[in-house]
Amino acid sequence: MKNRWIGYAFISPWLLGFLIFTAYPFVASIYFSFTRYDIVSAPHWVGLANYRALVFDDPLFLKSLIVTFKFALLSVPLGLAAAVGLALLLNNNVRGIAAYRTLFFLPSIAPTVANAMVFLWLLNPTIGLVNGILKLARRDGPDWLGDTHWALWSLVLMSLWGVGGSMVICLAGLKDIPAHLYEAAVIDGAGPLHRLRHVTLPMLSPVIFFNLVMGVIGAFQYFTEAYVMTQGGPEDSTLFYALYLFRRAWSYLDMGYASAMAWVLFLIVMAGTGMLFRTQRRWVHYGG
Amino acid sequence: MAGDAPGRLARREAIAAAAGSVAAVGALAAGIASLAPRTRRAGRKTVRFWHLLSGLWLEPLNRAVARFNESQGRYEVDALQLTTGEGDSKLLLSVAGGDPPDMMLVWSQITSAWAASNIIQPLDSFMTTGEMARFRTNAYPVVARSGWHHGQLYGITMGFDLFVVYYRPDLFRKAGIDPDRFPATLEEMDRLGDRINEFGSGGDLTRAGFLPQTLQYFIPLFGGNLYDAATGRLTLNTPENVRALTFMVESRVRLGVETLRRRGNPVSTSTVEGRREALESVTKFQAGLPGDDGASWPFISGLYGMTIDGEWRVEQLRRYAPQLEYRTIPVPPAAGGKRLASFSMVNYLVMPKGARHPDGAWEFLKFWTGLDHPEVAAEMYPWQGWMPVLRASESAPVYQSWLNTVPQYRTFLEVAKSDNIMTTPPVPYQTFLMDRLSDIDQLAMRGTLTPEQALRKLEDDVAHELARRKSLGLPE
Repeated sequence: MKNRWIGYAFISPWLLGFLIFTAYPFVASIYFSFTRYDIVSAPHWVGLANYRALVFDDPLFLKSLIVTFKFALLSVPLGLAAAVGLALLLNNNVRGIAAYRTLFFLPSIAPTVANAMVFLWLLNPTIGLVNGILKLARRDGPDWLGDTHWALWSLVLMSLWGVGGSMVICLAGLKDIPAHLYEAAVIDGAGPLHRLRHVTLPMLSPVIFFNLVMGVIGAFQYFTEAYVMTQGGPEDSTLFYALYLFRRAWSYLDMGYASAMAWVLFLIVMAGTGMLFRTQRRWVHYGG
Repeated sequence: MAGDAPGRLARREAIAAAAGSVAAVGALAAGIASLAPRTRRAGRKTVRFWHLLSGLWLEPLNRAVARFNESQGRYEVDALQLTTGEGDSKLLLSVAGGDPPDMMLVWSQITSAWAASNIIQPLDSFMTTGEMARFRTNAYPVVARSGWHHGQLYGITMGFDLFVVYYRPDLFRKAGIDPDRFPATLEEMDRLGDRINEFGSGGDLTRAGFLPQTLQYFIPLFGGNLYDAATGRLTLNTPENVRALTFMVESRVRLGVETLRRRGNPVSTSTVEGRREALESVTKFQAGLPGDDGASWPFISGLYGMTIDGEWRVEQLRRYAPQLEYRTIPVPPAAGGKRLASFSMVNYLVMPKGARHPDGAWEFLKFWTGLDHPEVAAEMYPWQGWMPVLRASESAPVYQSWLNTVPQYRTFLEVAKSDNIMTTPPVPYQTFLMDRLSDIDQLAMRGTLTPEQALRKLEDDVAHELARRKSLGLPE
């Protein structure tokens, strides 16, 4: 019995932090979402008015939702493909492989804002490196972040810069695949592509599934790069849901409304994650 | 049962663990306490002042604070610099948490929204009748009109931006233009810009003679406004505003067409695609320009021949390009528009609700702005190169001496006396409004919408917002 209390005493800093800074705001935001609340004055109960206004009186709500869905649909599969592809390449026993792994992992631990500043220069239409390279190939590069057709794509491509974390998880997953499966496949005459298709990917599917779920959640919360690089422009083409939510809360002083937005996002993410979990029976193999 | 498990800790180990936890919490509390502001001099009240000033403006502020602290024995101003991104939210949280600063200098045009939400308190209650009378009669018109909400003064201006033309006589001469004969209308100025434009060997635009940008700078020049103070209503989609936006778009289309022609890719302005392509080439030129800070401001490197910009550039030019020959002049009005017209961005000193030492904050405000001793403030204004609040500061000998060293600044003071200055509409949703204005500005500048469609969209967006606010019972 005493041990239990001693254990609680040791984890009490974390427990208190969790209860005060995570659990309480989480629960309180449910209540705030049914109120008119500007952070400073006492919340005023408005029932479902915030949710109704989201649907009927706020074109930007739908717009930001569409932008975020588009981003998730583009960035998550591309990010997964890049992470798996890099992991496969870095799973080879070549000279200096540890250095390569470090190099590919490094960008994922660089501060997001620092990355954003570097990309602002890389994607500058006149003096940026990307358009400079295109110019060498006699191509006129676009205004990456200033063109409505390219701005979202630019952020999608930039998101690939940070796949190092997923890559490392995939690499660990690859290391975990029993060698005898490959040996058996080779004896059965399977070539590299067949081994990838019928051994590697199925055995890696739990890791891919994990990265998929985390990627979807991360994509729906995408904020910092858009806040720093495009501020939602041009023409709202990068007005992400989380960015709009932030504006509603802190610039327009609608914390109640922003809480309702947060809960809509939460339900969407939960529904998306639930759907993914339902599909996993068909393609995720836990047989390793 | 865990308590019955073998190897459980002895009582003294449990006490040691608990004591360790208490010590850790104590150390944390002591650390936090050490961060709290301290009164530096005994017997003085600490006035906490938050601001967003950095770089060029930080040192002048610190000098002003030090001078105030030296000037009296009751208060000690403790200035805290915040970053632009976190300033507003930090203030909101501090008010909600009951521990706000005593005063803050804000850049956001947000005083009406904060006043409506009870985040800041009225300042006119601190003013004596004499002070109010002086403020109303001696402050520049835009200062005297700004910061009010429902008949009460919630923010006092400290540094307001006005926008005039900066131009380069050397580039005028190079283009065969007499720099002493500046055009009398905006349209003539625009045409003059065509002669100053320069293009590289591949046809790329390398210098824009004049590149109109930011709709709110142009609306007052056409006699328009975003708000009618007499009726308290927004005036977004008016003929004047449409003319202003149309002027900007047409000027940029012309520049884009010329750029594409020189690149060997001529387009027709009679098609939507042609206009879009022309506008895109200008947007791309603009996006490729270096930042506006320090010596990288495009005007310094000659990427603009003429540009409309604010008074803070005078000090920037003095520091980073002291040899550069340049002049300033009020933006000429559009045909049928208003003279000495400008948009103004106003920085406000505000007092949060729950400030612990409002009296000390007010004393500092009066000292820094010059409301009580304009001649003392007149010594400090040149440090930061800001517009004074009172005309009395402008006429002080020390300020006049400074003006003789930067004669270009006189243009701003000339415009400051005008009644044709437009500010951000004082509505409770002003941040939303200005965000949407910026959005339709982009839509028109890229040719996605015509000026008429863009301003109609602005009206629609605001109507949606008003409907939303009404349904939630928010002030409209």
